[in-house]
Amino acid sequence: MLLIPDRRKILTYLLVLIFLLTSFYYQSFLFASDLRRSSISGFVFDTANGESLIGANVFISGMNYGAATNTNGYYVITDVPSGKHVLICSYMGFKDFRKDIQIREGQQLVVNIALESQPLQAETIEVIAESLRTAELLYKKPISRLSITPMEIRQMPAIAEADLLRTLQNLPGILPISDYSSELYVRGGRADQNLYLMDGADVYNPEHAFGMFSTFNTDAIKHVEISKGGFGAAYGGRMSSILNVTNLDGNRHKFEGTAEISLLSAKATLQMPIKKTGSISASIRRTYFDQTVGRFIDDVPDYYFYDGHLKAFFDLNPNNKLTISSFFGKDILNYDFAAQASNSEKLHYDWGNMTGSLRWTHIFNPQFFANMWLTVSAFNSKFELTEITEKNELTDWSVKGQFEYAFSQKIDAQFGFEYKNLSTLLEQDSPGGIIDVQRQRSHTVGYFLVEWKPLAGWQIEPGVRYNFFSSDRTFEDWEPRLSSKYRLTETISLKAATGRYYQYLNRIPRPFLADIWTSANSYYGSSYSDHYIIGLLKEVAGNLEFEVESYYKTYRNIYSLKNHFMDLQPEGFDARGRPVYKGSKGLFDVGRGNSKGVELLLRKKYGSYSGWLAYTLARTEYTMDGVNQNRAFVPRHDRTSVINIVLNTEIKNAIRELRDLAYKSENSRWLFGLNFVYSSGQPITLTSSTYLMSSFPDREYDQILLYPTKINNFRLPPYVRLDVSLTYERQFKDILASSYIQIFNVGNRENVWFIRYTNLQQKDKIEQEVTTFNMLPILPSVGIRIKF
Amino acid sequence: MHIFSYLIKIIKRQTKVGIGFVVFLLLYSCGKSPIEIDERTYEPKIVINGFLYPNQPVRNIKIARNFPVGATINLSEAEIPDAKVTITDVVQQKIFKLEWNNISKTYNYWLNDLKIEPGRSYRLDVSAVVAGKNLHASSTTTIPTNLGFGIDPSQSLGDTVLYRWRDEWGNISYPKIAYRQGATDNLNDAQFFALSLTAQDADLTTFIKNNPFGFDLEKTLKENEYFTIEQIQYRDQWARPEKAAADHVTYFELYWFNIWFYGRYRAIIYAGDKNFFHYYSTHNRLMDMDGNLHEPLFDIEGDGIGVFGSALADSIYFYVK
Repeated sequence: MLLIPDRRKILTYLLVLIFLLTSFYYQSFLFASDLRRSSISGFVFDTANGESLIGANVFISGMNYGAATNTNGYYVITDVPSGKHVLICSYMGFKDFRKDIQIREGQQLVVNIALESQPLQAETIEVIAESLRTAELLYKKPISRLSITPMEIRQMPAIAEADLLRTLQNLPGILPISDYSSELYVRGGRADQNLYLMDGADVYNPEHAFGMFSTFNTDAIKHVEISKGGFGAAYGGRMSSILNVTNLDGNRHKFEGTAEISLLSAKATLQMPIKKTGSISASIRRTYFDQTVGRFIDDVPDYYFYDGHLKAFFDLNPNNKLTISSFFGKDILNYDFAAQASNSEKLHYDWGNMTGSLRWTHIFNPQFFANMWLTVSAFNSKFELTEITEKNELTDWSVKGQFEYAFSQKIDAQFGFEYKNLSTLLEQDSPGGIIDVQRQRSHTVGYFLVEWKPLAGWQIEPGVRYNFFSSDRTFEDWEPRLSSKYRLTETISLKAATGRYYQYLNRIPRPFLADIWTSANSYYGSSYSDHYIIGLLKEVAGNLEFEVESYYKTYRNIYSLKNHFMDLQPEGFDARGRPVYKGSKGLFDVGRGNSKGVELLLRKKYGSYSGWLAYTLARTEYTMDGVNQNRAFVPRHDRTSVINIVLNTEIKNAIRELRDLAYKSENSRWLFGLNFVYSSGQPITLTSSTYLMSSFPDREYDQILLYPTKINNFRLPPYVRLDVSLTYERQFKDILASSYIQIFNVGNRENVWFIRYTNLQQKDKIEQEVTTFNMLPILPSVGIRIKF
Repeated sequence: MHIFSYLIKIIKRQTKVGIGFVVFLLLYSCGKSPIEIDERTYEPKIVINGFLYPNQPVRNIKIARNFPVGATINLSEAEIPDAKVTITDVVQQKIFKLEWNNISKTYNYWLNDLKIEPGRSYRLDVSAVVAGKNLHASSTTTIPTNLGFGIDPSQSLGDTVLYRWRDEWGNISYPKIAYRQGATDNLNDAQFFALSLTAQDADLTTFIKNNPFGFDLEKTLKENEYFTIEQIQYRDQWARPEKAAADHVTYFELYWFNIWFYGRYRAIIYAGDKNFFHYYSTHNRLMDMDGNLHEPLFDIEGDGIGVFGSALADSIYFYVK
């Protein structure tokens, strides 16, 4: 019996190997046939810095032939009829590229396209052309996927400085749990159901400052996409969402940099070419609270964080590119409980991430494109407080390949593989016991999907993803995926998607300490979710995007950390009689659930004023065995209605645009940002009553205890918040200087996080007071940013 | 989709509309929304707090009521003197009625015909009127056997312990209380072992001011009206059954962060049953990390909360200086 998992493992490896060999064998066959087909292919990049552009549209004027650039900025248009054509490329924030081309039958024309940027506010494209393009963009983007630009992230009013995850919390269907957390709750899923990818590497626990800020340095970001569900077979591993962050490759033409100082941190990003073959970019950020305020106020803990990013891009030859990317971040906290005392207890806690990825991009032939990655992602934390020590580590080594093949104008295929080796370690030594957990897991994935355009205005994408997860037992799971699009009219698209999504990792959330990741095993099986999504997308009034999406999700085998550790059994006891824990049996409650909702989004991406207006109506219910008497309950992150209004304006030109006057470029400008959130009340468990009791029979002292009502059966008042920012930008020759003031929660709204019950004990009576613990108050901040 | 065109036309024509809208958002986002928790959330309950010990009479079973949240709790109204309280020997099906004692404010059984024996189960039934509502609650406990359970003074800390004393290598040492869990392989044996520590001389004069956590009791009592000295006077630790031989000696190592006062200490080790374990583990650990509450685990059926448990107990005294 013991041999069965090994056999399965070997079988899986063999399958992957056969799959790869077959792929390469067929590529040579395809290569031969591809030589007879005409195509136009190439990369699209920014003239100013040589950065490849993701999602640019390349098409032949007047014909239904076109393609969008992939994550490498590569496009291919196949089976182009011979003759003279006009090739057009368009991308938001860039001037249109137009080129007359002539193609012969069987010719494989390579056209690398350099787009010239223009300020987003200066878009002066004719309304008719623009109208078509907006509708086309909406049609092309996958269902439930939203992208956000670094500029949008920077312009969003924030706490102290721009933060990627906090920006995403303002998109429909994405919620925070509180002002104190940058975690994402996507369409009713929990925070550990999101996969964070940075340049292809998974990021675990992407948090600074106990979750207040995310680890993503916005100055290093080139492109961000979040898929809220219904994603294709190329992605998996999490049940709710995929956040894909691509960092800057670096300026390939000249030295460029930015420096910024905010109330939170100082940071700098530098980019430069490496001869003619590549580029490099680097960024670093560090908080300086410990070096300023901390030096004058004794009680402030010695705390700081830093993070950095380094990325190099090498254009080896027209068919081979190499990218090396690395990220590191660390939080360090030291606290002396009684600095004056000789025997003072000291606390040390540090935690951080490191990721590295090596990506090789290879073009076998214009139709056959491949990306291969070797990635590593590591998280570690160390806690020391005289009687308690803890080490928490996770390391993820992955090899993955993603292949794209353009069979024809009607059929594109993608296939790929991933092998992930995960090791985790948790060592805790405290007077109460020992935790000694070391785990080795592997996850092998193969996937295949086809983009099929059977008729004009139709696209169907069936796909399948195979998982082989090995822990103390093995899991083999198939994930079918299907999505489709239909162009109902020139401006309206209909979309639908469904699929199954498996997850093998679960997170143990902890207050003030880094979360611990556990995996599916003999006691806790794999979790999965089924998604059903339909959507309507419409271009409105030329350059507005309007989307309506409705979704229904089910969850099976979701895990929630038990409220007590009574069921957790030790493996044994050490010489001091302390229990030694090595397993996870008894750690979780098991449950199921569902989420449903409707999201409306009206978005303007460019112009002198941009932003979005979003409304979400949603409901999530979980049922956990042994919780709430096994009855369904709404989780704490459920919100019935959410309204988000985000507005970014360049004030003078916005007024001009509203009055239909021409855009006017000036050396200086004022930018105004606004972010408004309304969400209906957060569920909370109320106390039904209080009572007096002692904890032990020998104690005369009675505590005042609370007895809760049914779980989360009460809704807090609605959450309302308005943030504003004002930025002044001025161009001095080659330097663009901007200074900004941001006010988070400008109305100083007292939004409630939870309810507190305090008791004032007197001689013969107890006065009980019900108060609230509120979210963040008004938080103004200022900063300066220089781009050179 | 004419509505969009209409809205955009309005905005384009009326810049003031946009400014007005921003001002509206600003005003709307000021202030606070009150939380109204009305008394409808109140559910009357019988609060049970009672323990049985093998070979000892049934004493000090507390029967009280709960109160609505935010109400002033008049301590003299907490106990219920007119409840009907009985204990049933589950095997013999004999029922024993407990009597109210007006001095101790507890229910007791004074006759000698009720024997509490290890390994046997006893059910407590309570009927009472709380907030005008007739309520009934019952709970059954099985007395742990744990033959051989007890503290071993000869291997425990001495009579006197030096606060945070260090060994010859300079490491902080922890005082130990040695005890035998006794036989723990029977289903009826104790589900956990708890150490209840009481600083018997706790007051401001005996407080350890030079503690390494920088905690200042006098300042805290002055600044925080909700803090009471009892919150650090009574401390506890717990351990799991080791499933070892009955004569195996194991230890409670006292955490120094449980010692806040110089002077006399009483340490009682309980070998508790399932009900006691559930109550101990959940009754005051209700708050999640996000401030939300979750339900405690009480082994009481009907309209009751609290604990009706059983335990073996042994004690030791020492002095901290």
